[in-house]
Amino acid sequence: MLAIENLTVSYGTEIAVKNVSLTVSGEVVCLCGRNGSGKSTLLKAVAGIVGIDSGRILLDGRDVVDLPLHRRLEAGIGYVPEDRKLFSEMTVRENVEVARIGAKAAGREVMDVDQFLPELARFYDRKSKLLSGGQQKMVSIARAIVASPQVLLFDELLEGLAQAMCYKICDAVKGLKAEGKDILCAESSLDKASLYADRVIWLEQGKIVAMGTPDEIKSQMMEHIRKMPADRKLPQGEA
Amino acid sequence: MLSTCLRYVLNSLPVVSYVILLSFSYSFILYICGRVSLTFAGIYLVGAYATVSLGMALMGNNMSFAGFIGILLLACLLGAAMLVASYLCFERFLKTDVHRMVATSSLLVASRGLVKVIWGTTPVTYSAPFLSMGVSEIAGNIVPNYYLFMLAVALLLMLALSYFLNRTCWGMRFRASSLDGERTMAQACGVNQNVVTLMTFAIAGVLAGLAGGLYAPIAGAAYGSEGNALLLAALSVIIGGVGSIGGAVLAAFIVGIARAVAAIKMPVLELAVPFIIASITLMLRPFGLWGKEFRY
Amino acid sequence: MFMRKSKALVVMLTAAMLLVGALGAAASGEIPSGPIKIGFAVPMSGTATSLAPDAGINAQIAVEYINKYEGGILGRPVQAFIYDTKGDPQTTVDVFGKLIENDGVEAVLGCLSSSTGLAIAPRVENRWKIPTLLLEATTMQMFTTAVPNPKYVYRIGPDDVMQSITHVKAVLENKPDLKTIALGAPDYEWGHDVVNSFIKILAQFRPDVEVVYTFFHPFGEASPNFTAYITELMQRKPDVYVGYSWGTDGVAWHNQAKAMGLYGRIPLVFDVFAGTAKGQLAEEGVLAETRAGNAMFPPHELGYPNAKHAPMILERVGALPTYGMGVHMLTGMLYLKAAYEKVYALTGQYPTPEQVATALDGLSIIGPCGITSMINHQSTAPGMAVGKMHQREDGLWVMEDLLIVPDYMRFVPPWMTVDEFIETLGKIQ
Repeated sequence: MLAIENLTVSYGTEIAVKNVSLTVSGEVVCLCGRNGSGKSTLLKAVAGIVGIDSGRILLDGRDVVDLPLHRRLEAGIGYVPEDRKLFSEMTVRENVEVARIGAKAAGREVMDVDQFLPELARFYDRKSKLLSGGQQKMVSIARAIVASPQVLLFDELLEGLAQAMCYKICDAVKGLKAEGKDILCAESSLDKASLYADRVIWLEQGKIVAMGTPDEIKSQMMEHIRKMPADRKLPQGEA
Repeated sequence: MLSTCLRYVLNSLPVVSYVILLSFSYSFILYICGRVSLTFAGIYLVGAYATVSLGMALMGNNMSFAGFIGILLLACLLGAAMLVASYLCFERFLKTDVHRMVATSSLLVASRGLVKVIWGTTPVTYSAPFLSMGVSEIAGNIVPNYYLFMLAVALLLMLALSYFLNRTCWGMRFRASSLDGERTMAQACGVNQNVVTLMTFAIAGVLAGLAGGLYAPIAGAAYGSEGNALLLAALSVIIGGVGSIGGAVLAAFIVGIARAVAAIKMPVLELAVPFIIASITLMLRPFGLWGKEFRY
Repeated sequence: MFMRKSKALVVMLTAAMLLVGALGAAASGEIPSGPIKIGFAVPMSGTATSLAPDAGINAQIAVEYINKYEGGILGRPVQAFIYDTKGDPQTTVDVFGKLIENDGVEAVLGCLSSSTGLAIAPRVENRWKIPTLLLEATTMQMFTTAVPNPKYVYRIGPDDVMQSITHVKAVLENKPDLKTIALGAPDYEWGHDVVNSFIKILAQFRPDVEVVYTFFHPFGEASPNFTAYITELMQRKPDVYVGYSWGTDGVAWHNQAKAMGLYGRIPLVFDVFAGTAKGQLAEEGVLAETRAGNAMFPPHELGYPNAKHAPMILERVGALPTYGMGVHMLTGMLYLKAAYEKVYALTGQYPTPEQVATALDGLSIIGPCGITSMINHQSTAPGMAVGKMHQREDGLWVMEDLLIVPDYMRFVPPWMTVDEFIETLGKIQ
């Protein structure tokens, strides 16, 4: 179980995440919100890429805040960044291999990637920079899950992907959930989040403003828009 | 005709071996760590002086091949230790390339100062290993065996590095670090970036120290030679491409042979040739002949 | 009454003032007490140090020698101010300014390379106006274009023509039957000058000799590779090779030529600088130049004058005075001493810088290697010779079979141009 307690993260004087607390336990939780609402920063803080100001990040009760980035894998955290960040000149196999070596060195059990991403086997020997966006996303997921982490962090998993690819990746995520993983995602689109998320957390300016199932959040958002003063609604004729 | 061509190749061998080692020392740090570091040229100078001093002190006129190899190993270790120390005490605090450029060039001046304090400014020479190895005759051309030894050492080292990078677990981690722009994803995959950086600096130090040690018996250790080392290494990296072992070897052969040909056919151009080749390369292949698109 | 008193007072005052004035005038004839300050502007870092290693120590030794064995200058001990020029023209100018304007030296000895000599000579003549003895700066431009009518600037080292004539004579003497010759030099002004001058003079003596190969290798490029030139040289098979590589180039050239067996394949090799750099370039049987006379042979063992000088250098530097730098410095100090003494003997007064400068011309002294004269601001540099390198059993490199070319054969007289002189030499031959 991943538990985040009173987490605050800032970039210089700019506070990106303000006193956020949440838990993820064997489910898929998706952070939603506009650009700059702090979703990605929160994931990066858990992954260990950005430092935090205060708060705790507990993984099955163990505080991982002080672990350096390269030891988060050992602690059981897998991260898929927004822009995939593959090792572009390496083959798909090598990309996954880097994480597999890391997992073995850290004494972690290695997961059979093909079970969740059967398509990957077709292009194992291709250079990762030659793959399509969706395929690259798969490689990035494979690289994150090979060390069989308990917590998975997916940033903008479905961003810019074709419909068919979205479904394939959603299947993979659901498969991982079935394995009992704690999955925390970030999506800017509520529609895409609703494809795979159990719960959605709406962030605005680094704070949690709403929480619930995707449908609940959707209706809350509609209510919110309805309550807006008339001049902030869309002008007649453009709707 | 064939013999003449072969002559040019054989004449170029010392420069080729030296450029392979030096340019890869420079480009290895740039490639793996994404850091500009000019300190390697200072290490080259120290390696040369250390080899001469150790050679004179430990062997004098009783030259033995094993002893010389031992001295080269010491020069390599010294190079590695110095470059690692310079990283730990100094270079790791430098956050931008402009900083690194300015600060490491001052480190270069500092290592010159060190050489001046310890050895003075008069060039020193220890030519026993070079002279004692004798000469071979290849298709009517005389070539000192030491040149062949130098080339063999440089190529073997490059092969070993290539094996390390492409066939071993740690090598894969090195490559992953090099291809990772912000150097975060490799760490997220469990790669300890500090260890990789230290190992990279150590390997670069070995290469630079060895380049100095191997060249010293031929040309002596000369205060001021680090400037030339820096220039040739930088031009060869432009020609060969950053981080490419094949590129480093190819560029070294191109620069070495072009200079050997120019020395006889058009002596005016001998020193300009590496610049000309580098300019043409930049125009046609901005990332070098063998280089990948390089970002960091 | 009052008037008379005041008149007497005026007379007395005037007399007193005259007396004081006369005493003052007498005082100027006395030699000032305390040491005489002499400046040394010599390269102690940079490429030039390989030609003149330990220039600073050599300067100290020259001054110690003058104080200990010659009783100083006019009885005053010499105090040396020694600064590093780095062999660089701008630094040399700065160093001269510091010596003359801050330290108040009475004369300066310095400059090894021509570029530094050319930078300071006009400034000395027009601005500083104090006796200046150039140790080398052998370029022919010095007294033709840079300072055509010198007053304060003198040169101790030989000029390029003196050097080339000596070299040609040495080659012909050691290899009378030569048919072909090759020359190599570093690629800068001096390198081209000496090679051209050698070829021109050789043509006067032996027009039949063919120059089969000349090359100019990169100058002062650290970590040089001369294999291409050496291979080409061995392909052309000349009877004689004359090489002018020095400093770091010289070390690399020597190592590489030796490894490739050049010395065994060419009948006569004349490595002009083989006697420099503390013997690092020395090769058994190879010809080398001595420059100021005792670069590599032990003058004290041969009964040369001032024989105490060489042992002092041998003791402190560990090698004989290479490139004659120490010899040049001592020669310069002896010239200065003689000039001061000449002026004092003639006028009975302590000399002004102008008087010292004037007195230097035409002086003859007994230098470390024999009698040498200052003619038209150029020292005749006695004992400039060529000899064969030989390593003695005690490990010391020395020169044997010295060929000393007499002054009249190599010193361009003031009434002749260089070309006229060379032509005349050919006719004498």
